[in-house]
Amino acid sequence: LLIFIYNFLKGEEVVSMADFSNKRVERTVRIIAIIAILVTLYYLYWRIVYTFNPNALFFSWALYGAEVFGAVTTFLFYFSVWKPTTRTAPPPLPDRSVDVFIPTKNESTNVLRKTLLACNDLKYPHRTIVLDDGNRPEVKALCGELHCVYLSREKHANAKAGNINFGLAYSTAEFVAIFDADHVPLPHFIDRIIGYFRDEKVGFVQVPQEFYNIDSFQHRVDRKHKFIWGEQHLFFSLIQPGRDYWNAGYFVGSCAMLRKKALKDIEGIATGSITEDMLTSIRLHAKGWSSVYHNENLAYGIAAETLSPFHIQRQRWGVGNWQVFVRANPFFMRGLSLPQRLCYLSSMIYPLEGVQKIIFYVTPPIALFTGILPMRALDVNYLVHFIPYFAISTFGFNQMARGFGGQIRLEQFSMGKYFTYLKTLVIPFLPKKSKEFKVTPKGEEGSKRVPVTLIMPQAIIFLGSIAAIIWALVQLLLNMRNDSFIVAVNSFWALYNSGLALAIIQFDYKKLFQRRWAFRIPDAVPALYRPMGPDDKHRLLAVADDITEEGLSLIAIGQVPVGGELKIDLLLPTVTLDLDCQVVQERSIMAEDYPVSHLGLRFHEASQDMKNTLSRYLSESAVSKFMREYRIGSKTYVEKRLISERHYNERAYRALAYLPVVISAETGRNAYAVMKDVSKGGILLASRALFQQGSEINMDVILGRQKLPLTGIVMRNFTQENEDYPEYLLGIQIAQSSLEKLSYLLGVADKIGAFILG
Amino acid sequence: MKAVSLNDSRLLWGIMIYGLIAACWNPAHSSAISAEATNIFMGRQVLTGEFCPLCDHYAGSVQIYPVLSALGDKVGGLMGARAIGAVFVLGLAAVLYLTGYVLFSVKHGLLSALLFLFNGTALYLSRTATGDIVAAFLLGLSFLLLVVSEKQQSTSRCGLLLFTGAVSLFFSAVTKYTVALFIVPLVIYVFWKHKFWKALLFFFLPLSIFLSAYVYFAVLPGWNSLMEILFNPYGGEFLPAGELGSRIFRWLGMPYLLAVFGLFHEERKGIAFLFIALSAPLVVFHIISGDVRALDRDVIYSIVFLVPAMALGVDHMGSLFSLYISSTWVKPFFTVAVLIVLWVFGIHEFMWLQTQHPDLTRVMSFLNQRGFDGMTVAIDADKSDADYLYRYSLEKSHPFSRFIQISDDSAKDRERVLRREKPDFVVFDETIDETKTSIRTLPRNLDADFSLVEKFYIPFSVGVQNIKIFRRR
Repeated sequence: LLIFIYNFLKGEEVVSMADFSNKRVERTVRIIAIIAILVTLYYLYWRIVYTFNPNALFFSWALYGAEVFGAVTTFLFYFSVWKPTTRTAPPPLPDRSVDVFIPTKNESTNVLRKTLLACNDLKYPHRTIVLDDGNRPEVKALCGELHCVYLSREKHANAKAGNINFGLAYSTAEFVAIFDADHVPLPHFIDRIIGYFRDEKVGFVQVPQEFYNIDSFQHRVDRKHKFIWGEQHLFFSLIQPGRDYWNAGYFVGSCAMLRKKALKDIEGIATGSITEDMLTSIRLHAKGWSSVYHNENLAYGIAAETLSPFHIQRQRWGVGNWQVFVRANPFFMRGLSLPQRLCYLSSMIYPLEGVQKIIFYVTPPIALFTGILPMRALDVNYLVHFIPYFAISTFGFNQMARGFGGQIRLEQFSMGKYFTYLKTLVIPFLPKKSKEFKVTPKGEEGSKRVPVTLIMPQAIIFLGSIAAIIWALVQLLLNMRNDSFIVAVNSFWALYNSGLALAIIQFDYKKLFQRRWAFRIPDAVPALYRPMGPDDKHRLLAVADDITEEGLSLIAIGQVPVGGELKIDLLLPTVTLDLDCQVVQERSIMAEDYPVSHLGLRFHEASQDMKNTLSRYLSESAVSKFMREYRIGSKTYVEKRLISERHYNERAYRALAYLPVVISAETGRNAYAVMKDVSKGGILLASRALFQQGSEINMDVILGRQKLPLTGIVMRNFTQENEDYPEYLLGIQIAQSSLEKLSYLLGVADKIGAFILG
Repeated sequence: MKAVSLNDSRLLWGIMIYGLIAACWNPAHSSAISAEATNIFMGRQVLTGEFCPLCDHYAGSVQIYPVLSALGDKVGGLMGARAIGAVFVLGLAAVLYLTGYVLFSVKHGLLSALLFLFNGTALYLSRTATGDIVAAFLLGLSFLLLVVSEKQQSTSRCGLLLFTGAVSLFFSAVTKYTVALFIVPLVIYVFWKHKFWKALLFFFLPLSIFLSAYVYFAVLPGWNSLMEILFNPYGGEFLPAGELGSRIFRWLGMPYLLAVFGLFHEERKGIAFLFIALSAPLVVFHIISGDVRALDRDVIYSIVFLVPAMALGVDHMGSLFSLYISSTWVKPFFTVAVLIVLWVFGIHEFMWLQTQHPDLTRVMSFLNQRGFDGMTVAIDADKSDADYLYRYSLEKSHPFSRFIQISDDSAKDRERVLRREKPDFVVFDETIDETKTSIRTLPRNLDADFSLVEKFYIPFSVGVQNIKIFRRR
């Protein structure tokens, strides 16, 4: 036990592999889960037998009910993720017909354009069909421009489900792939998953819904350590693979491919619920069709930007769940297996979390204001039971969550959702209009709303908790009460709840006052620039470190004033874009001897073709490149102990700074590259050309008008998986003769890295 | 070494000034308690060469604190004696600041000092003339020296620090025997952190020699009285583990809770665990032995080790409550909020502790006015050393009066003593609470000789002190 505790305390963060195939790890995790379940059951038994406050029975039952609900959902979670699958894509089925559906209603044409461009670039033969429920001429014109099929219906019955069914009636293909209007597929989307349909029983294949706008409301990013936590990562990276094992994976309405025969078997996409996707999954499973969850990011979408669209989305899901619960209750539906019923049950009851959370949020203020406790006493006996239970159940959850949990962040989002979920318990009893399908606003549309009223529930929790703490402390100081330990513990609990509430308020307000709403995709592209005036003919090499169709930001040595005009040659892997830009923002520092500027540039008069080219590059290469650089999970304790591999922390210190480099090899080949990081012994380059391992190369690191020549040997090379936009990562060991210069470069890069990361 | 900024040193001074004010605020808050009076008398005896190692209350212990206490009393009376506690509490706060600073950072050092001064027990001991705080100071100093020794490159400097650490630990243990519980964990700690020969030569051997010599020359001669003190006089104060656990929880629940938060500190959780382990022997000893004596004061030794872990805990709580909020004010806001809660908690605990002994000012004032110099006062009290308390409180006005303790005598002996000594006053001094009712009264045969002249009901933390004063007719 002591060794266990010691190792636990000593644990380090390492990169997650999101691989569930290690039998030792999985077996250990399941044993821990069983222990956690047993401890939880004992704790709940002890609570009900020994701890209820006879003077506050309602309060006692309320808190106990919240704890029981937490235990039930945790057990269902354990069941769902008992044996998550790790699948390998089978070879594609040749010569099948596929229709790609893009249902849309009110999404902007900018958002839709990106999706259609990416759909057109899907490598597998297919037809792209836009199902416009908004009957908008501009969408029709866009489809004409991009050679997609445009369909719209006169009556818009059954919302998205009805729209897709309308498309199904038109479609002649054997399979349909469905994408929401903001979901941009990668070119090999169909090739990677169509092979699963060799099994004639497979009704649909679902892939994760990943979102690239990592500054959204539902993401938390640590840029320095390249870590993203997404509110839906637990679901898509673990719960879905877990349910896949039980043949209970969900169709989630987008990023999926379905066999039309299976859809015909259930008379199309299910109607009667505003979460048509879940109902469709239930019906397909009940009819004996099986499902596949392929856990690989093959499409990227836009996540809810602020609390407002997040609220709309979750309200829709919550209400939809109740509709499914009433109309197609998985417990009574024939044809489902017991595991499928349990998996669906766990999805349906989660809006009750709103009730559970409000109990947890109001318990400390009630105890602080009134001195009444929902248990007999908060004494050593209680803590002796509670602390081990809490520690073991938390440990168990974290192991079963396989590094995708992030419990405190989950708690933060529970705070953001609790009132929304409470509302979903009432909405089914309201007039029909409140139960209608509402599209989640995305992109600019989702950013315009000011959700002041939406943060009221969190503001009330925050202010109520702080007021309760002040009240109780004053009473203690005046000797009007004697329960100092109870006051202190409840104050800590109330402070924790206040922190959760404040995080939601603060993050939402930060988003509201953000200057630029379109997410700029992080990248590292060499760019030649020169001021547009007649005086300066010199072109300087810099690095574009994030890009959108409307602008980019540039790390340049030298200074350019705000308002200045620049001509940029953006050196994309296969094409160079010639762009005229205006500097709209400028920040600068001195990095050793060099003035470094971080420039915010806006394109002007870029042609639509140029924007399309840029959009395709961003969607099909840049997004997946940068998302691969970030990790979305941490290694669990069990993984760290049982899988021996090099720890992340063991790597030498690396300064993260992008600087342009020109490589010249012995063979006479030259190539542009970007230095991505630098350590005291080597550098990592993203190069436009591949250099073989062991080859000696000369590099000029470009620092404005000066060059810093370095010599090194290619130790490792990796090819980024995209044949249309080839890029190679080269690990270079710097030669002894250049180490002094490298040390100087490390100093420069360190300052630039700190400056860029803020 | 880590740099200390001007703001940091100002903060430290601020914390120390707070500690000074808290310790010295209204030093005459109550009459002396018996432990204070005993200490002062013991110190006086040592100063006047009346050292009595075989007396009950000596039992071989080194008289560092009683001497200081007697000197303080000489200078400023009871307030002077109590001021000694304030000095050592501030000294210990500085030691804990340095421990936190050396092990973690200036911030954790400051938090350690602040959390210590916010602690109810520390605050209570800073205003009470008892020796616990001296032992705690020496224990804290010893640990600081051991921690600093780890950072030394030079063997001689490291050896010197280990040796002084051993000396400090020795004096701490012989000031209060309870500290001896921490010797084994600290020896293990030193062997863990240092090369075997260094730990053996500079720490273990000197400590063993000092302790052996002390046991041989001081403890063994007083062995019987020591055993009597340890096992006899408070027979009723041994409790079952469950109940004792609740009592310990009263004083250490919060420190341990905060230290447990320290276990989740992102960078220093391992050290938090170490501190929790080092603090544990006292708890284990009390639970196993069932001994409840001086628990409220003994906990200070555990707190010495827990405070740095608590600092980590509070720092972590600030991070936890403000997690993922990028604004610079949020973490300080939550950290300050936690500190305010702890301050109020500490003040509340302190108020309880300070009133755990009845304030006998009114009783002494009565005897002062109605008594006379040369009078004889017989005292039948719950506490066996209550005579010291009465003697100390009345010695200035009635230096030639006699105070006789009759509490331990049987009813027959008590009557015999009262007839023989012919006291002018008989004082019955006992605590009444939910479990105890008044039992002390005059033998019936003496009813005619004495009349009840005053009754006092003095409420305090654990009940009411019921005092009856009889005067010879």
